[in-house]
Amino acid sequence: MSATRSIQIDLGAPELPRLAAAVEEMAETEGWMPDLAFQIQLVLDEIGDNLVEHRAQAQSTYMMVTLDSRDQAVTVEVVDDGIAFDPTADAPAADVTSALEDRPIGGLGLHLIRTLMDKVDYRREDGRNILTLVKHRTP
Amino acid sequence: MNVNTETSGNSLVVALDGRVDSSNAAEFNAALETATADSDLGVVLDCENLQYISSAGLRVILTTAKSLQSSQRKFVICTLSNPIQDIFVISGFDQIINIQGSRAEALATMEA
Repeated sequence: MSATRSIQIDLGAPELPRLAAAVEEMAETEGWMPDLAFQIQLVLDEIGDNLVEHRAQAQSTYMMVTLDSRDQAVTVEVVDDGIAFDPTADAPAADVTSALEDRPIGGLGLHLIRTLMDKVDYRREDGRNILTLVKHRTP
Repeated sequence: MNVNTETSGNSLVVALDGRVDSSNAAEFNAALETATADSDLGVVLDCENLQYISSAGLRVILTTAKSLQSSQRKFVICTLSNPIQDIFVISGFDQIINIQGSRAEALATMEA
């Protein structure tokens, strides 16, 4: 089985639930295991939240998400029109070891993405950020 | 997302159900604050019916853990599903928050 679907999200509107619904639908039609569906949902939520939160300073207006489901892997491509930002290099490492009283609040989103996905690639092309995430389906 | 609170022995048991993401994290935070205010009991957060949580929800849990610790109240989380348990571990929350497999185990650690 395989399927490809693209969803464009206006970052200035509350459209992220539309993305979540598309992931849920593909998970069902493509027979994703519950953990895989959860993880794809989570990484897209984290990316979407970051883009919406920083859209003013990043000067971005939209994100275009392409979900590509194959037997071996699910590939997610996220394109946005903001200023160059490479989450694989420009983001500070998350603190996941300090004691409770010293643990900073936040900064976990990118850490979750990098840990949960098998591959995270960034490139800048035609004034757009392109993030490609791959998650293998067979252990 | 729904939060139900009951008292069990010397603990407040807060049962969380549904989904927590950026769209309702503020509501989740307010619900937890309301549930745990006006009490000095330890808190068990039972996640048996929690289907989904993103880092927006993890922030609320960390804030709650810090606030309860600063008032010397115990805080235990129990009954996490596998994918949620995974993100707690990846986030390093298992090192700073007491996580138990069941509500009974969580309540037993509150007695100690």
